[in-house]
Amino acid sequence: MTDLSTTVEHAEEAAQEVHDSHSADHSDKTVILGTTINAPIYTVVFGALALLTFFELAVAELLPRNFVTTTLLVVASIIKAVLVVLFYMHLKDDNPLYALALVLPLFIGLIATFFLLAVPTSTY
Amino acid sequence: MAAIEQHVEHEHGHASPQARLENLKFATWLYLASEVIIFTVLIATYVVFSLNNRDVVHEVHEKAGIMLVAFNTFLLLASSWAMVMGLRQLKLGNRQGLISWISLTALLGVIFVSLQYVEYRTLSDAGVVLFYSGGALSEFGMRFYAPTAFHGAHVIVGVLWALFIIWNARRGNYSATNYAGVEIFGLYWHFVDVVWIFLFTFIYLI
Repeated sequence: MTDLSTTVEHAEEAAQEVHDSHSADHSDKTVILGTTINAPIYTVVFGALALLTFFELAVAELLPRNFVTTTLLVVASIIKAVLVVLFYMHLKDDNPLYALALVLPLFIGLIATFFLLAVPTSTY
Repeated sequence: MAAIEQHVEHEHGHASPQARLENLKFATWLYLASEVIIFTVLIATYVVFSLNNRDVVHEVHEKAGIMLVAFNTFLLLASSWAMVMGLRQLKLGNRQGLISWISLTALLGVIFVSLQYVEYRTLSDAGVVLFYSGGALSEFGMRFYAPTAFHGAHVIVGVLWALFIIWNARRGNYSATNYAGVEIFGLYWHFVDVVWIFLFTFIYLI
């Protein structure tokens, strides 16, 4: 009986740990650099994603295509992806090793693709 | 945390809900790793073609226009937001809120796929076809339709999965402490969103 109540106590502590780690996600307010915004963190992230998309559109449509604009577009897309992965996929609270599931295959895939594309097809 | 999971497993002979969620999440991330390789190869192949055929890409961009795709991108980002808001509502104990937000997620997914069909029709009429017909545009088509249509198939699967989540939620199968199914679906749906973020940039903007 004592063992069972100890187990229940531990389970409640564990549940509280999880709840605490996600409590910022449950709040109706978000604090960014000392400024309080009356919206959940997920809505703030969505606003950032929308703004970055408008930024990308503006860069692509209004500026000439060159190395700088291409770099800007790629960096903006990486920021958007990182925001989704950290906040929407909860990687900021989860095991950071999960990030390897995204980065490692990306690296392997790119190496394999560029190696295969480097093989000449017209000399056989 | 690990200690309590082990303790509960020892006591009852099976994993706790939290341990089950962690196992499911680990399995899902492994599955997503395989998807990353597939999409990386598809996108990298397109990028290499694009670098070597700037004129063709420019011609297609002019024919297709960007506004429809930009609007579609906004819809998919909004669907990801709706998804995570649904999970938030469930964790706050509001099951009806979950159903409403996931319904919105599914609706936005359906609109996304419908608009992608409209875009494909426009491109097809402009000569951008999947099979090789001799022109440079068809070479582009093979490299364009593979990643975007494969992504579209993922959205369709996601919409069906969302409907399954709604069905389960209506039956009362989820709660503030039992949300593993919703969280796993969220990982999949957000991954599909991340893939589109890169597809949008590399295929439509650059």
